[in-house]
Amino acid sequence: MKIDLEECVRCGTCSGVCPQNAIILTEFEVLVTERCNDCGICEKVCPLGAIEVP
Amino acid sequence: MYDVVIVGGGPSGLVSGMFSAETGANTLIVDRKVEIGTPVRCAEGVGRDPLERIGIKPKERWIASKIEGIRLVSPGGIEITAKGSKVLKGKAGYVLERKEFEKYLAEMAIRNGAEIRLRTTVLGAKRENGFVNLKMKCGGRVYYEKARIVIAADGIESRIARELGLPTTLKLKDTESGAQYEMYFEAEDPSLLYFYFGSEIAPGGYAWIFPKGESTANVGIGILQVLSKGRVLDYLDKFLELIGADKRKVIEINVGGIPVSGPIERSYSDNLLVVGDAARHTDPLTGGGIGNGMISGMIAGKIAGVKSQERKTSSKDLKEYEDKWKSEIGKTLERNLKIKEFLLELKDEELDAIAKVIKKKGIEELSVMGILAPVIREHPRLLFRIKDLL
Ligand SMILES: Cc1cc2nc3c(=O)[nH]c(=O)nc-3n(C[C@H](O)[C@H](O)[C@H](O)COP(=O)(O)OP(=O)(O)OC[C@H]3O[C@@H](n4cnc5c(N)ncnc54)[C@H](O)[C@@H]3O)c2cc1C
Ligand code: SF4
Ligand code: SF4
Repeated sequence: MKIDLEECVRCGTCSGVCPQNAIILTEFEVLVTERCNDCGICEKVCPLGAIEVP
Repeated sequence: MYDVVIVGGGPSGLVSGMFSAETGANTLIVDRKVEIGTPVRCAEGVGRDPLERIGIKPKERWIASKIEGIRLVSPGGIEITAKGSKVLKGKAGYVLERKEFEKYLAEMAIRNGAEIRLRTTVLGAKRENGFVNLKMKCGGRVYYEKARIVIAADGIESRIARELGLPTTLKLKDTESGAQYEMYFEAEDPSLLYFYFGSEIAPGGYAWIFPKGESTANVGIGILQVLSKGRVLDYLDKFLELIGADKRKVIEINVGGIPVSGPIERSYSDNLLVVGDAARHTDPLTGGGIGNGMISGMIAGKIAGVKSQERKTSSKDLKEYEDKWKSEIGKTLERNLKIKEFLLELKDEELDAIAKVIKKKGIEELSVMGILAPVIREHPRLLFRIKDLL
């Protein structure tokens, strides 16, 4: 899973739906930890279409 | 070691801090942001009732406008307006200047003795011998902080409760995407809140205009991304065209998620309470979460403050929190969740039909049931579908 940081507005919605609890927002970054299994759920909810899952 | 650490300095976390510190508990509020109150991600509407319940008197500094009524616009364009003391029945509300409002809440928390730490993210949390060890990050520095009780007030993400074993993951169908412009806009009547419905305008949600005085308004939209054909900002731009608003007059853009699942199954466990959006206390029908978040924050803050000092921090000791918030806001949350699911099933034509009845009979009171009552009386068969909501 990849986040296009130029599109992302850091709203946190992807983190709320991630079954692996893999997405951590800090003040300046959106971190995707190794827990991510590329399930694709967050891609469906991102309001900006900033997420791409291979 | 802190008695209480609150993760998240939104309205729920700040009010938790206010009441926890008031009990004399050693209280810390942590937020990753660099400024309390920003970004706003909210239409800023709040009822008078929750403010009264937590004992906050309205201050000019954070009230953008007073609300005296509403206008509902159906998919087919039927307009229903209800305004004035006859329908308000003491239920007036405000559009806040939320940046100022949250700073005010922070001041109250600090005055009661709470500490605030900004620019600090809680990366993870683990239980150890009767307390919680929190992994914190500030800039490039990673360090640990201990808490007897953690209040998870981390909003839509709600990661901290999950780190400590309570499931809070949202389903896609329970996650609204919200987008809003604060903009130069002269509403026809700045004392009304405007709500627009329809599957073209806002699939699975609604669009709104919340005036902030004569010439500024929050113009926004909430949609279920899974029912939508595009990005939420595109829907918002289309809504601007519908109401004749000019995109070149936008002064702020906000995008955020809104949980509409209804409350999480369990909001407490050993050393942990979950409040506000993190506990999915957001009203699933309206998407409003400030009021409920402050109420659950108040209850959690008081209980965490007292229990942490008594060293009674087990799940059993903290159950009182769940009982209390349920008695304050539980019933309404449950009912509004059912009404939301009922409305989601309706087609645009059915919504228009309901709007016609409401328009003919008039709104009796500015409340969910006050709006629906005449419809149910006129069409008792509808009652069968929603009688278990009453
Ligand atoms: C477009 C839109 C319009 C809305 N309109 C309204 C409205 O008109 N009226 C209304 O009542 N509600 C409205 N809401 C909902 C309302 O904004 C929320 O319900 C409310 O903000 C919830 O408050 P909270 O304190 O629970 O969470 P939040 O306000 O989300 O606060 C959570 C805080 O936690 C911090 N945080 C999260 N994780 C961490 C971490 N790991 N470490 C450190 N800090 C962390 C975040 O930075 C944030 O400041 C709207 C929402 C949206 C998106
Ligand atoms: S949902 Fe999209 S815009 Fe929001 S934080 Fe995640 S990647 Fe960024
Ligand atoms: S792809 Fe799935 S596991 Fe990975 S971050 Fe998105 S929701 Fe989480």
